[in-house]
Amino acid sequence: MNNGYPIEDERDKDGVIGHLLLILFAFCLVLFNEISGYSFQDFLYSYGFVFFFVFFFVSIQHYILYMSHVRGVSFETGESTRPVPLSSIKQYRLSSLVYRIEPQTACLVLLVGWVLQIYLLRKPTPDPMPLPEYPELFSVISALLSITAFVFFRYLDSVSKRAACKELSAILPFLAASIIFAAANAIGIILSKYGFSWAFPVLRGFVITCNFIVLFEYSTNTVINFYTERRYPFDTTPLYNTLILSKILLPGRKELSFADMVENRFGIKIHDIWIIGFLRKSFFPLLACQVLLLWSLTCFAIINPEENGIRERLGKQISFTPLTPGLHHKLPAPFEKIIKFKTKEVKTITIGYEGDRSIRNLFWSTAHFEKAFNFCLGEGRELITVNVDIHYLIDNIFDYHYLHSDPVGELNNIGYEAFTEKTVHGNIQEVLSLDRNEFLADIRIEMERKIALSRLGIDIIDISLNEIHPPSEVANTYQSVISSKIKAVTLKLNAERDVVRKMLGFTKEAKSEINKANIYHSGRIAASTGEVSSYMEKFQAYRIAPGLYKKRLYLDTIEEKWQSSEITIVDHTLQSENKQELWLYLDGEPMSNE
Amino acid sequence: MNRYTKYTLLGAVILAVIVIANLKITKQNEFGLILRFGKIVKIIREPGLYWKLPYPIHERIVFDKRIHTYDTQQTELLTKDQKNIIMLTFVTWRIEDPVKYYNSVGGDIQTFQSKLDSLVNNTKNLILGEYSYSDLFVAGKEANKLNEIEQKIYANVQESASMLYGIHVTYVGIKRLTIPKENIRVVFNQMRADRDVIANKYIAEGEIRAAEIRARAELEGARMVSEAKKKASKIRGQADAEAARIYAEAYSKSPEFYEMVRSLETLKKVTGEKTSLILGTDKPPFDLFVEKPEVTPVDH
Repeated sequence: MNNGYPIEDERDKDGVIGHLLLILFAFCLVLFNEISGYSFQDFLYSYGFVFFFVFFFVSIQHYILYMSHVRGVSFETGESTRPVPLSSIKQYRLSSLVYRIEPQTACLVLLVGWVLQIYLLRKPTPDPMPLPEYPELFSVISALLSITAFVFFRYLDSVSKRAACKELSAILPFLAASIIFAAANAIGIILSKYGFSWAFPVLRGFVITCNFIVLFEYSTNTVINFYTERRYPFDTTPLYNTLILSKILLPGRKELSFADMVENRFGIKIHDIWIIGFLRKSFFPLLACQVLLLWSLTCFAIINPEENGIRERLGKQISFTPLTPGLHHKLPAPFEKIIKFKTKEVKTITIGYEGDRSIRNLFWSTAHFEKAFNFCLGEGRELITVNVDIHYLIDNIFDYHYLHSDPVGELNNIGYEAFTEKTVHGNIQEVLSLDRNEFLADIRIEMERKIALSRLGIDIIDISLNEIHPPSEVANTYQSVISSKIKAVTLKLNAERDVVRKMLGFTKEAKSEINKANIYHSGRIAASTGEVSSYMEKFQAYRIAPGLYKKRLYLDTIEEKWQSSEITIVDHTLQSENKQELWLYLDGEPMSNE
Repeated sequence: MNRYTKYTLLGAVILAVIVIANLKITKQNEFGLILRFGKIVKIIREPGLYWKLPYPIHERIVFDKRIHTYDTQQTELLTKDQKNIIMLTFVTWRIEDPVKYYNSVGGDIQTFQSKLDSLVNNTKNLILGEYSYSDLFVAGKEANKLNEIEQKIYANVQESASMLYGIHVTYVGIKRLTIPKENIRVVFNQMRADRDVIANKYIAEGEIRAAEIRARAELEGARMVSEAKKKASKIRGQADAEAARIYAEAYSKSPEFYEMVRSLETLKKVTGEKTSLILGTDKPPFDLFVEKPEVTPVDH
């Protein structure tokens, strides 16, 4: 009993060597594509990570088996041994180890496969998907090599009769798929570079989907095989086989069908289930019914509340009023067609600089986007940055659809033209100090005139001036103008503050002068009044006895004031030698005794 | 089912496939051309269902007959006074003569647009040579030359496009005027210089205003103090006058007595303990040393 390993058969031995060469060839192909400019992600997309890891582990595994049993080399001693049948595998500890670690290797491959699949599915695909930058020649060579490899591979598969090694037999579909995917990727790149831009993303999507399906089947098989009783070392059915790939890529091979597998493993006879039998017998009538049903569905079209529609029969417009929201019946495709437009949805285009709004900042003094858009102003020596949203509705769907291939592009151009015309005449000061409502109203009128003239079928709802300011490159200078304005105001305020302080001083001084004068006034009046009052009292006394009172006053004064003074009494009759008086009279005349 | 029936059925299916595959719909917004071995044999202007012989006998070519819009390349142009300007224009056009269009550019829109680009740029170059740089930016809508330039470009391009490519140009508009990248830095410097002038002007105005405010305040203050002093003088004068009046009133009662009282008051004030007085013996009470005067009351 050799369990399918007739190592004495030289042809099958050659088949094993051929398969090993093929693995090497496929690996070289991977390397070639890697060298020729594939990124890691390209590599994952094009070859399928599952296959790569399967190559890797299975190749090592099979090499050990091959060297141990076909060539008879001991891995423990490194010495040559005589070739032995695989039935004696238990004699070789290392080989036994390989079988023992098979579940672990399978699980590892599975784990890595799923992680990478999730990574690829989660990673957003750029739109448009960038093409590799290497020359098309590499893709052509890659495609040709892949196709050649696949043909060679099919040939080897047919001549080796799959009996050489079950391990190799199991990885054949993986190999085939990876080579086919490599070819598909290369062809996709070539097509995309020659105008079929959809080809590359579509083929990559196909590869990812296939990876997912195969990975799912591979996982299922691994789990099933893991719990299936195995008789080491005789049962060498690998954990990792895939029926789907075998059926699609190697249709000539004799593989167990899914039903056979389920029957063998779980004892369930799928073909005996009546529903399966019914489906197998009535497949074509059922298919026809389904196709008819699907076709009949094209007789109806639903126009949503925000939409209006146009009915076309064999390409010709047959409705001349817009179809209103609701259910509409029509002839099935392709005889009649209803084209729908979202006429009530307010759409927006931007005039001026554009960019990712989520990263837009609100300060014009720093650059908003990488690429600022400036309108040239009067005299061509000033620039102004403008960002305006134009909100519009589709007003006339017939004009919109039948007269213009790109009405939104035209609207955009009309908007730019209107802004250029409006801004080009003034300088920045004028434009910035315009009444902005009037400014926008003028632009709107101009745009509406041009829209009506070219029958765009668009109605402008509103124009929002998001920003209008000098370019951010000169923001510092504009800020310095603002600072200067503030400084000028500060200077004025400082002067006013000083003035207030000084005026207080002046007021104080003025008031002080007035107060002093008032005090003087009061004092003077009071003094004079007091003095006169005192005098009047004396005068009353004087009137009674004038001479006496005068004398009394005189004497009182002498008593009161001069009692301690030094008084010199001189005979008033004395005269100087020249007959002059020796003293002066206070009143200028000698006091009369009378 | 015998072999004959099988072949008949197969033939019918193949025929049906061929017939269906060669039924073509021309849409409302399309032109169609039918070519028989490369020769145009039919122009389809009306929408509907058409049948043609299978390829390669008949070939159908379809054109979009709607208005297309095309933004020309940004090219740097020289004005009459040899200044650089970038003028971005857009052109709207539609196919007028599909046969001429197909013959001239093979019906390829990209090819036509590259030719249109060249045509418009050539026209822009020719026409802009007639205008100076300042004409493009001249203030005042009436003096605006942009519409005039648009009209000239339109007339020129329309004529050539119609004649060469069977295209009707419906509009030519100037989408944007801008300065070459190399000059933008200079423009920014100029804008900065302008702003600096304005900034300095603001500061100078502020300083002048402050000085004015201070000077006006000084003047106002001086005036206020002066007024106050004047008023104070007046008050003092009034006080003196009032006092004088009061004194005069008292004086008028008896000038002699007043003078005496006032003299005595003054004497009291100006003399003190250390004052030395020299008095004659004719003065009371020292007249006692001479003779006793007879006191007689005096009536006033």
